[in-house]
Amino acid sequence: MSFLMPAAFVLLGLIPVVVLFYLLKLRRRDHIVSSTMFWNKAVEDLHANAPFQRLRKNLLLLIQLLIIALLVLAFARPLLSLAARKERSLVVLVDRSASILAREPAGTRLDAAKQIALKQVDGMVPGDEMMLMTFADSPEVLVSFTNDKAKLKRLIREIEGREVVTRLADALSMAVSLARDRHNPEILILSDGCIGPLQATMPDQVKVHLVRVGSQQPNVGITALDIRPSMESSKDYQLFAILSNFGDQDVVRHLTLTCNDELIDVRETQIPAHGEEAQLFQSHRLSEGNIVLEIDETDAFPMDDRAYCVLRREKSTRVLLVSEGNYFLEKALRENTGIIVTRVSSVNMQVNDAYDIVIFDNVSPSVLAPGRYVFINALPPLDGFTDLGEIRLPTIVDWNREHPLTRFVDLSAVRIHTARQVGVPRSALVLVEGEKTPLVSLLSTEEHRVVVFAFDFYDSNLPLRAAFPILVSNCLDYLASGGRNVESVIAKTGHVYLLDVPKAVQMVSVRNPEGQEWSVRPNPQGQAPFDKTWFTGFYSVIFDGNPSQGFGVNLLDAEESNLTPRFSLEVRGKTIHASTGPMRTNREIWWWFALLGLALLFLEWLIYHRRVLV
Amino acid sequence: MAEVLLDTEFLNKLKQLTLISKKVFAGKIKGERRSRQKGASVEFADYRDYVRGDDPRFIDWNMYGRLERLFLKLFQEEQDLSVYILVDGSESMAFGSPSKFLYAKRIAAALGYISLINMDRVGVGTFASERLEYLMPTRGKGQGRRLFAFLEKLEPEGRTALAASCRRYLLRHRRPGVLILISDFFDRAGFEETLKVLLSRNLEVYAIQVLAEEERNPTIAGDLRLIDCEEKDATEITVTDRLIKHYKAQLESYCESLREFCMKRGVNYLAVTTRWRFEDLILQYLKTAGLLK
Repeated sequence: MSFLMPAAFVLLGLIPVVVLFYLLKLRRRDHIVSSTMFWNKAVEDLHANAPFQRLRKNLLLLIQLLIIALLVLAFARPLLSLAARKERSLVVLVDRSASILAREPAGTRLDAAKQIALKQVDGMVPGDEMMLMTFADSPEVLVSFTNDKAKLKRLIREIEGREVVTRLADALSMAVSLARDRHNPEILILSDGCIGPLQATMPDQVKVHLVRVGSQQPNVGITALDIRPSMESSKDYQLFAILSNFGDQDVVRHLTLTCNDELIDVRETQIPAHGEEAQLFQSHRLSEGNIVLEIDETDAFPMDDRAYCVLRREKSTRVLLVSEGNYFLEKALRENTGIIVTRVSSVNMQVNDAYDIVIFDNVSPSVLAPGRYVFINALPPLDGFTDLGEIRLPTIVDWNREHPLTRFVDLSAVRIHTARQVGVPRSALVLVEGEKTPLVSLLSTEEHRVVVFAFDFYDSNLPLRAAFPILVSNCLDYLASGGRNVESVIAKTGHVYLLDVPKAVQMVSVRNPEGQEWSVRPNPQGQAPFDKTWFTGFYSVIFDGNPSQGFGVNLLDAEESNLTPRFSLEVRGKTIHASTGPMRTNREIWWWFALLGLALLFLEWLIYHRRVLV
Repeated sequence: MAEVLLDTEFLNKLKQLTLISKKVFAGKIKGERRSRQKGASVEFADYRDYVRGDDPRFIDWNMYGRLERLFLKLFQEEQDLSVYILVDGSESMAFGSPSKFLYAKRIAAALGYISLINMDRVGVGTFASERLEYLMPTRGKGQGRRLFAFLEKLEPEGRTALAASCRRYLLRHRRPGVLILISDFFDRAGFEETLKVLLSRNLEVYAIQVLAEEERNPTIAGDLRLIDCEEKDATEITVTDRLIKHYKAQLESYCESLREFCMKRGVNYLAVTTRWRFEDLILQYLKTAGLLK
């Protein structure tokens, strides 16, 4: 029981006042006795033992104190949490993301969530309606508002988990928009709460309840994975992995690395409690094929115990550098393995199909054929790019540290002498923000992918900074592969994976580890987006009936691997506290206390007048 | 009109009873009791030498035949017994239903009547702090009516002052005998002084404590201001089971100390409550207690 107005308990201070009045104003009846000598002694004896004896068993006083207590309770407006019995439109959001598949002593968390959902269906009263939704990386409406209990139960039982990350915000927004115009709209989220901060809009008329499933479970998982050629030897590959321990105790785990089912390495590692441990594997035996990194010991959450990666044969990237000569750039380009650089003074754009990437250094073509470009101190002839003149000593305000193009790059010490003040299209993404102009921007359209540097490298100290070769490498990686590592193919569950498709291929088939198969039609750029990356493991790819190299899909999400259930959600400043059972509703019960107080008042009056005791 | 203390039927039953005196006292005139004085009676007591002037009828001629000396036979003379019955007349005796005073008066009437028909000298008195009323000792069955009339007109009044009252009474009644004190003994000065006063005279003392049932087991409840009927002082109480328990313990302790004091000093103590049937009290309890036979 809780109270809407706990300040009313201050009124309990009236109780000692009543007791005081009672002591002062006690009406006593005269009674003549033969002698008071024994009574005096008895009273003295009793007072020595019990100073408040006179108050005890005094029915009227007790009743008066009880009346005060009841009235104070009524003023405090007590709330009783009762199983909901009001007609309402309820949206049940069932979490089906990876973490909800964690094993608990009594089945998975999803099983527990289903049980609560089923109880909620059982608790429906005539007039109630329920909509059933699931959410993981995207929301899905299983059934719109209905009161068909059998259908709801069947659909709840059929819910299956997906090994993907949780994105509750989209689901909550959808649920709110669907429920807001209904009668008594309420949203029930059944989740383990492994959800990041939410930015969903939450109108006041929609009540949101969070029911937490699952308990605290220790978990060790692989939360990051990457593979690339070794810097020391072009024949070796390096596999980098981060293992995270979400438990309260340090653990020792054995890691096994296999390539095409062939054992490459086994090692033991200790991971501190609530900490991470990075592991670097380097071997020339890592070759083209399916690579699996596995933690031997199983735990409550097996899907982050294995990481999958498909290593491809290195593909050469042909780069055309249109420049009068740029020593630093050429040197940085040639430092990247698998890059074939050709420098020309001017280019005929009709023949650039022979190059994967074209770099324009201080020169701009009149027209731009579809393709991938880098413009240095020049602007592409595309709508939206405008030259607004020169700007001196622009300061770098900020840069995007997450984007593949600018990650791992520290531009804080970079100074630029002269830059172009440029206008960029609305769809362009500014990666490095200058004081008055974007210094590095990216435009991705169906036909073009263009990176624009608004300054000449010679007018800055960038080529002399450690960031420069990384920036160039990132640029080549991004333009050549669309953000993926050039050599390895690592995808995340729930993310769209872009398949590079040869131009002649008309249909791409993808089969997931569960054996389900989907067909994807490639786009004109020769890419087939595949979005049903719901499960971890190896996905096989077939181009027009011919098997091709597949890709590995991993969870690689520390938020999902952390199995600690959350007790509340923050939705735009509002905190929704989690409960652990079916949804309950608060009812004010002050009138019960008021009624009882009134009844006692009547009883007190009756006793007083009948003088039962006094 | 005063209430008749004892009816005729009950008086007839009393005729069979006798007040027992464990001590032997010198009476004033010949009665039906053994006396310390030796004289003409049937019960042989002793011999003494014959002196001139002695009644020759009491010479033991058999002894003369054997010893040739004149001895006079002495006999235990039966004389009357002085019985003093004192009834506490303080206001506290008015308490109870029936009142302790009425009960005490009836006891006094019964014992007085028994004594009268046994040819004892019976003196009756009542007292309170400033008051002492008594009937001069008298004997003979014919005095019964006078005795009853005296008792019937008595009313409780005044504060308890047992010791002073007894002292004043005994100044006027010096003959040894049996003294029966009927009281509730609710005296704030205590009972010890009273009993010592009585024992200082050559008296066989009976202390009969009369308590009302309402005193032994009070039935009051609630918040009360108890007013002492004699002292008029007040005590505020809230009646609880615990308080009643403590009160009973105090009363019991007081009665016990009275009984113990009496036992140690040879005073015959009898505790009586008004709840008892009066006939049972006289015909059974007092006989069992050794006061009557």
